[in-house]
Amino acid sequence: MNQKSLVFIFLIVVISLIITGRLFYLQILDQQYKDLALKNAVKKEYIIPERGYIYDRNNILLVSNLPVYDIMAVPKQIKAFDTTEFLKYTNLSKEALIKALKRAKTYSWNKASLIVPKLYKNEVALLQEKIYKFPGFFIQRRAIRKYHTKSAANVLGFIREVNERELKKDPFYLPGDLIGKAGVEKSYEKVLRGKKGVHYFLTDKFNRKIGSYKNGRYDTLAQVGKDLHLSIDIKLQEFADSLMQGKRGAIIAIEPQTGQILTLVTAPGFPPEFLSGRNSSKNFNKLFKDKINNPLLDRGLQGEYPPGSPFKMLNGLIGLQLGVIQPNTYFVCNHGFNYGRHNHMFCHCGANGRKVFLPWAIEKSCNTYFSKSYLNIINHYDTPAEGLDTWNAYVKKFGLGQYLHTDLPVGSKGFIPDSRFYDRYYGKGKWYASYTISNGIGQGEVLTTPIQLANVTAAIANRGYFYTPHAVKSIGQNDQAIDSIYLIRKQTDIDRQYFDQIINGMANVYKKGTAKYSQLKDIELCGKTGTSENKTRINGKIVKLPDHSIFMAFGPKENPKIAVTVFVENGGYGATIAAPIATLVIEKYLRGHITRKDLLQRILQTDLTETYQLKQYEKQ
Amino acid sequence: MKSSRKASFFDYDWISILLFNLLVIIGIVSIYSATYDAQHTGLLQTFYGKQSLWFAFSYLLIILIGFIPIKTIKNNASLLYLLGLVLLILVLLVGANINGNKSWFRFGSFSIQPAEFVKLLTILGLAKLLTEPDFKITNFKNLLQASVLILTPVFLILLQPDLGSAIIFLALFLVLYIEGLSIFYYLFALLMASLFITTIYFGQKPVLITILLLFIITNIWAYYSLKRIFWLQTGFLLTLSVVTVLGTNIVFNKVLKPHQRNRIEIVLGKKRDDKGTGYNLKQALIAIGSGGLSGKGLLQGSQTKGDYIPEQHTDWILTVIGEQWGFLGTMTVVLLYTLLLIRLVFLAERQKQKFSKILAYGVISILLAHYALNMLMVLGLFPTIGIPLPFLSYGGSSLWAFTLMLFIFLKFDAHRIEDW
Repeated sequence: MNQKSLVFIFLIVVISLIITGRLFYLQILDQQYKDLALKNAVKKEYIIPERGYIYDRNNILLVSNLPVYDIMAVPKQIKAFDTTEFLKYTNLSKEALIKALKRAKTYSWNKASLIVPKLYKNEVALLQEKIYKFPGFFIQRRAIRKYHTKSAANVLGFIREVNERELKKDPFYLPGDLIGKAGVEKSYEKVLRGKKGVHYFLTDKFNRKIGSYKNGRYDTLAQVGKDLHLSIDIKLQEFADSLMQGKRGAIIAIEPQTGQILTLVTAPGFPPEFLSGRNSSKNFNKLFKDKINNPLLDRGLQGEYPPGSPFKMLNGLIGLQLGVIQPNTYFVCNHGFNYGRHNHMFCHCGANGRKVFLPWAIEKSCNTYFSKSYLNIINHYDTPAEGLDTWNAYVKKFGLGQYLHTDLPVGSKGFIPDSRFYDRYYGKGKWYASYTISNGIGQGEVLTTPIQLANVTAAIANRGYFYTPHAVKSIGQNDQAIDSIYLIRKQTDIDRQYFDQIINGMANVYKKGTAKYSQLKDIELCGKTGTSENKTRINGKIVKLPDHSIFMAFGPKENPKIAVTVFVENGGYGATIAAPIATLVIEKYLRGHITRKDLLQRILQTDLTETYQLKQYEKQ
Repeated sequence: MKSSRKASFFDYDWISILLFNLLVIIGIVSIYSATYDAQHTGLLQTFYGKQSLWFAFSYLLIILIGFIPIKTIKNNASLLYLLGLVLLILVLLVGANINGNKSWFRFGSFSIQPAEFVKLLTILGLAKLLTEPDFKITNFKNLLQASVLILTPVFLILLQPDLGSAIIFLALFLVLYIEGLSIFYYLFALLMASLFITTIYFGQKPVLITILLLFIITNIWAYYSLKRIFWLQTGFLLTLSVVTVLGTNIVFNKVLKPHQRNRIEIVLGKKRDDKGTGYNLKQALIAIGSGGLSGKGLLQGSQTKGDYIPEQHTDWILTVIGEQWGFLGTMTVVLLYTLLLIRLVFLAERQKQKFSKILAYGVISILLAHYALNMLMVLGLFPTIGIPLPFLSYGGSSLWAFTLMLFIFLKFDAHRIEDW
């Protein structure tokens, strides 16, 4: 070996060492390339599970899924095609197609855009066969909700595509995913949506799928969403809905022993399919903009109204519990009574200066009896503030003045005044029981929602306790339990014996009192009418509008199966419209059919639209 | 030393043949995974099927070489060289135009790249020239002759244009070192190359100032410590350097094409261009780097399977090896090349005939240049030029050309014992 050959060997070895060093650095030391390779080639694909179905309490299917087909297009891949033929298959106008393609190109050249949304199977069948003629176009399947009832939109809710905020909040969602926006679709979203499956796959440099990643070792299966079994009785719900045609208000029925909501009607409503299908966005805007009828407002859960006379039952119970009234307590009523210097409490009970005892007071809804009882409650303590706060605590035990925490996503607190409220209004210590006397008859500052009042009805029916009202009975195929907060019995602070006295009075309301024209044969019902005043300003003048018609009822008297509250805006006396509606709902539920067809006809034909048009002045 | 024995089958160097076979087989497996398609196509439609066929044919060539007396080759070396030049001129005239390059003869579906074979023919021509009686490389006229012999094909290939192949031919100047060309020529070339790169990297001014300062400091130091000034030597270096630096800008901006400028700047880290010119390189580094120590396994490379690297079955075949078999795989290939090259140096040194020794060093120089530049290019240490990895990359022309190159020398080596 001579020196020159050694130079060659040296050169060969040096080059190999440089290459080795570089390879060592790239393959052993630098770890970034492994991630880069994964990022390059391994893509994730989510498998969206089928959303859970929704059934009513008797296992009647209410909501299922319907496959719909979107026509999508990737602008880059579109080649010249027979437009006339394409339009023939899709029922699209030429202008609409041009507009959609233009929008797609602005959005992205490489990504797929929606051209025609939500076609049904028969509508896309023709195109499906010929799609090969239109490169760049493809058909994508997805599911929308299919509704098997025209009622209960407020309970069922609806689903839509997630928005930015929801995307940020929950990493579960990807753009284009569907999410529950109202009703049980929203509150039970996590149950209904199931679990997404993940499929990892390799892509080539054109982002085309070339096979699974590591033979699917990291893939997970999608889990179908769980079904919901509502406590709603859809037959009853639909019946109640029909009774509210041409009226505004709410009907709420609860099973007292469980707190399960049997019916939750808000009127005016809309069929749930209105917010599914091709025109859902348009329809939503229509509903959203209708500020006069406000169909998106759930009057049963969100509407705050003065409860009127049904609230007297609470004052009676508290009075009995505190001992400020007794079975032999009476007040003299002479078309009401005077209090303070210039004030008079009117009463229409018709006692005409006779002594009024509790059962009669309930039967005839005597304002005198209950406002005096209320004054006695407040004045039972050293200061009005102490009295009022004690009263407030008793009332709140019935779930009033606070969120009920039903399993539906909306609700209102209502209002039950306390001493701080009047301190702020009149100054500390500068007010007396008589200042707050309207609370005694459910007017004044007291506000409740229909569901709260229905819950009070259930608590009275149960003689002292209630379960938080809820619309879902069980979850999934094997009746998985609902949240435990709906299974806890909530006790009021009133003893059982006092309920019996009140309930006897409420039974007489049907037998000989304000609701005697609504009574049912063979089934003993208990109820209480309510009529709450409301006024509005038209052209600067205060005008008294027809009263809100309210009724609370439960039945049968012993072992109650259903508690109902009906609220009809501007429906007049409680006895004229709310009481018949409540009784019809109870009869439908207990008997399964209606015996008094004439009464049903009268209610169905009652249309308050003209009254509401009068009310529109206030909005203008 | 005289010997009357005839060379036999067993006189071929089996170590080289073994290394050659290993490299080709690794190549075929890599090509198989680089172009794998789950849909079955006919074996001979696939790249690995074709490469296997070329491999089989290369054995026919080897057998053919066995029948040609070495004397015939040696005596006709000049003619062969001229044939090479004719081929290069012909390809410019009647060659197929592929991507703007006229580098290929096309016969139906079959194409052949003459430049690959001209490498061998030039080596033969060079060997012939250097073994002429009275040829002395130190003689300037002889040096000029040798240079013209090497640069003529370079010039013709640049007309195609095929910069990569042209650069490879320059490696033949290494052979002249064996024949006694002073190492200073190589050092000057190295100096010029470094100045070229530094000028592109830092710009003209700082480099010129540095050179001038070095010149002054060296002379002052020499004057004070050695009491002597090396005007001639330092002056020559200064002139050479300044000319190089000034020439750099002209070459870089006027001679090179934009994509070539880009490739140089990407290697120097002056530019990032992961979508355009730098895409290949970036994807290649990802493929090799993600292989890790032992690789992802046969057909398990996501980069390879996803076809992220264009030409991964030809020039970029190292990425397939790096991703599938990791550092162990790439090291195996590096080791095989190193062993083959060193083995060839050993064989070269045992030649008694000058012709076969020059032939050997010619083959070594060309193989070394291919091996080094291809790998350095794929590893991002050299600008992207299109040259294959010998024996591994897909392609009949290059496989046959390298096979011929290697086996003609091995035949000369086998016959070294004969007196010719």
